[in-house]
Amino acid sequence: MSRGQGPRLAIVGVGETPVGRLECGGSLELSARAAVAAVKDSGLEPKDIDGLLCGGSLIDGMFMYNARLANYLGIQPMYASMIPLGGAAFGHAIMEAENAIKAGLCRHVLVVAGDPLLSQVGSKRAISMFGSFQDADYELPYGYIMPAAYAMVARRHMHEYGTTPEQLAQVAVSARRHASANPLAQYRDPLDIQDVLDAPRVATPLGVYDCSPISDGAGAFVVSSAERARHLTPRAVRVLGVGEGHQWEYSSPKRVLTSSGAAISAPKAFAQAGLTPDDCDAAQIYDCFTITVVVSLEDLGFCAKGEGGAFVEGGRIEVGGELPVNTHGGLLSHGHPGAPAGIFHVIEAVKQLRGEVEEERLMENCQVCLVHGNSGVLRDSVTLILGRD
Amino acid sequence: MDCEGGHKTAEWSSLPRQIVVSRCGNCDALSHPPRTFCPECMSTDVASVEVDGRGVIHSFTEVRLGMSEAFHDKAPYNIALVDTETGLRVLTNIVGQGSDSLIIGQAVEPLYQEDEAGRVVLVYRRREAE
Repeated sequence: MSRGQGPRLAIVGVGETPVGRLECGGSLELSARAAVAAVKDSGLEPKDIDGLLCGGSLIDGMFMYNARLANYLGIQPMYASMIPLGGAAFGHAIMEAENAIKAGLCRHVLVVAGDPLLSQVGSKRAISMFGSFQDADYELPYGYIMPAAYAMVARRHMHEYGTTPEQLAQVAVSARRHASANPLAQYRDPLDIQDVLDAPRVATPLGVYDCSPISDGAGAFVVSSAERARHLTPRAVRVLGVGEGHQWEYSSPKRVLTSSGAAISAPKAFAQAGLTPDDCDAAQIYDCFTITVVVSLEDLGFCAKGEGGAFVEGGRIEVGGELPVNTHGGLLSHGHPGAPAGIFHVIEAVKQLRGEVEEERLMENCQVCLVHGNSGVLRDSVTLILGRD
Repeated sequence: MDCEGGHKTAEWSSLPRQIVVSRCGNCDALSHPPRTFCPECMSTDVASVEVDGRGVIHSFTEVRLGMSEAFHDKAPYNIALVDTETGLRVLTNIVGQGSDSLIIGQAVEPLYQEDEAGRVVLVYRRREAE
């Protein structure tokens, strides 16, 4: 396979907690559990971890969070920062790690986030918190909540391209099928298209199963230079390409409502990797809502604009299909713990590329996996292309 | 630093079908929500002006479940994006008609009204044939 001039980086270790209702401490404690597992997995000693990038916490405050977390972990990094960029945070963390390692500021960067969103604030308060960052005069008086903004994208996508509620439901059903084979996932009971269609609507046309739940959970991974990774572990996963882009927000007249930042970030990531969408064996795509996956698949280049609905039909995005998507169950079924949400897509990509997942959702010979993170209303995007070393 | 006019909260237009936006004195660009600077050229030579607010529904949703603590008691309610004839996009509520009858492309006109909190809010209603 021809390879481009991507970052000379590798992910050398991953760690995660189960996702759901955990009742085991605050964000620092949850983060520590994932961090300890990731460092152990990498084979590094705690003293080797000299870089720290954290996604922050929605409920424990952002002020000096990176330093508080370093103190809690008992490490003394030479470089510590935080990236509160929602679902796009962890792709961006890879870019920051690349710059820091290249500049010689540090050698091994721990990327970590954890939040006990469900057990400490609960669903209704959490959904208020997600919306509370919006404009106090021009959004909140209208009852802005995140699901409503994505619902307007879904409605417009249906209007322009004929996308159906059944097609959106398929995204939730495929995610659940993968989650049912993942003991760490929050929701594992069987779910079919009729269940999704019959469920109460949160914000029309999106129903309960079109929206990700609120959860507790933490994830972590360790990034090193590709050269150091070779001496460290045979299980390292290479970062082949990374790209970032920021689209206009949904309320701007410049925004094509049915488009996303993926159209900006993905071409950069593929160019760095010297690869195309056809080269991807799987994709882990931030899926806060079902419509997010449909729009992202189009803008990532897996299908033409408007064809995302048809693309997800008939098991195409399930293990055994043409392009398995969110093989851990995604935010929709694996769960959404707030700040850490996007890290599980990275962790799952690493595990699939290593061949280290439960047999029922294990892909045959996964060599290249795309990871896409999104924040805002399909606004901020970071795309990663990961591959076996 | 002079903060006079620095905080742009919703301003009430007393003229029918007009909305208050900011206009750039340098490049003429309109901005909604109004800003103290022009997002096109970053000129600070901007002024609040009243422009025709009429437009069409670009998309909408009806929030049915009180999933959010903040708006638990408000549901069900609609939220819509309106594209104005002057090229602006406005997040709003459509008043005076049930959400079931809303459609993309429906012509709407603006009005200012007070909400339950006593705040002046820019909302939209069905535009009758003229």
